[in-house]
Amino acid sequence: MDRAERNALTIAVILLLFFFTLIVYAAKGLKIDLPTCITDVQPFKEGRLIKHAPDRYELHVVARMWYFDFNQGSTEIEIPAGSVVDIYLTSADVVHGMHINGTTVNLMAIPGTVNYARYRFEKPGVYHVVCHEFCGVGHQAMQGRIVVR
Amino acid sequence: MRFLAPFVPLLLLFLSFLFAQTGGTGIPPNEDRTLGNPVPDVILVDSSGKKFHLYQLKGKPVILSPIYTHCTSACPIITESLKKTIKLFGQPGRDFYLISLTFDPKDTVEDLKRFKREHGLGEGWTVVLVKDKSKLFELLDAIDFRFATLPDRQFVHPNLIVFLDKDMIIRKYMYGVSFDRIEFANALRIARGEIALPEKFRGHLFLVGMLGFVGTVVFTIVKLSRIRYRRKMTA
Repeated sequence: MDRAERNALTIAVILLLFFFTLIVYAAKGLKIDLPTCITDVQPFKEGRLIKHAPDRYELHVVARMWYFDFNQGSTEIEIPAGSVVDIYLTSADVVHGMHINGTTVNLMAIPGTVNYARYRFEKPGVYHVVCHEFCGVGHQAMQGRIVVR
Repeated sequence: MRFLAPFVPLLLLFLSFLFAQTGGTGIPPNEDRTLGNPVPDVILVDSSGKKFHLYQLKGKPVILSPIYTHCTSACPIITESLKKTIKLFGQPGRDFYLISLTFDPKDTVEDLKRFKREHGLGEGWTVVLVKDKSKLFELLDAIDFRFATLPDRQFVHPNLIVFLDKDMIIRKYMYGVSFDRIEFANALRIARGEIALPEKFRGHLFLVGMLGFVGTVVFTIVKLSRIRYRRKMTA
């Protein structure tokens, strides 16, 4: 093996290990919840916002061309500040992405599967939700809003 | 002894898999964040409508079984399995406390009563709900129990029981719908504070696995490059 080639390979392996360590540190040290793909939940057909307690919600999101169904077809929901929301995401058609602006929630919506993340909405305001996976001609208009009061 | 060297990292990796947690269905709890922490003192309501504080049970180990009363699949099986297993380890209420806790916020005292009657649970076995809904989630968060709601008041949830010690500290999880006697005996011993070593070891398990993984990768790279170098030299 050429020396330059070997050096490049060594650097690549070191970088891989370095980034892997950072991921492990983020998950364990900083206690960041990583998105979880749930294999044993039947993908739902309709979006729903379920209130379990005054500060506890479950949000079933169905991403479809080209909008996010948050609650029975609605693309906007309202929750009180300090609420903890369990977000379950699926897709009704093609692969979409879902990023809630200003938060760490960044999920893929894949048909036939359910992705999960939990987030506490501490600050009041409007959180824009955008699709970040190109999903067709209406992709740029695919968005939703979570209003935290 | 040199021939054993490659097996050391592999053994570490294998050990980490062997003792890794298994959550069954739903989203399994992250034990790293919960073991060794106390559960909050919440007000519970039992199947006769009597209110009491969870911390009133301090002094004996507590086995906490999160269920929901309308469950038609896992929860009844967990309850029946527990009924068979605990017979070997003593009397609930006398040797330890056994609590079936409903996590369905809509469950009522009537539902608890029905659940207790249907399963023929004795006096020492308490079926409870948490009086305040927000407090219910404080307790569920403390044991990192997460569930997803399905139509018709059904839920997807991990199948587990939690062992608390006499000071209400989370000591052990057991997974599945049926419970191995030896594992159950061990868990009860841990909850009684009789063996603490495996628990201390568990916190470092991930690092052991990482060490094994990195060791295996580095060893393979070094070995492969040596083979290549030798081949090159002989050519």
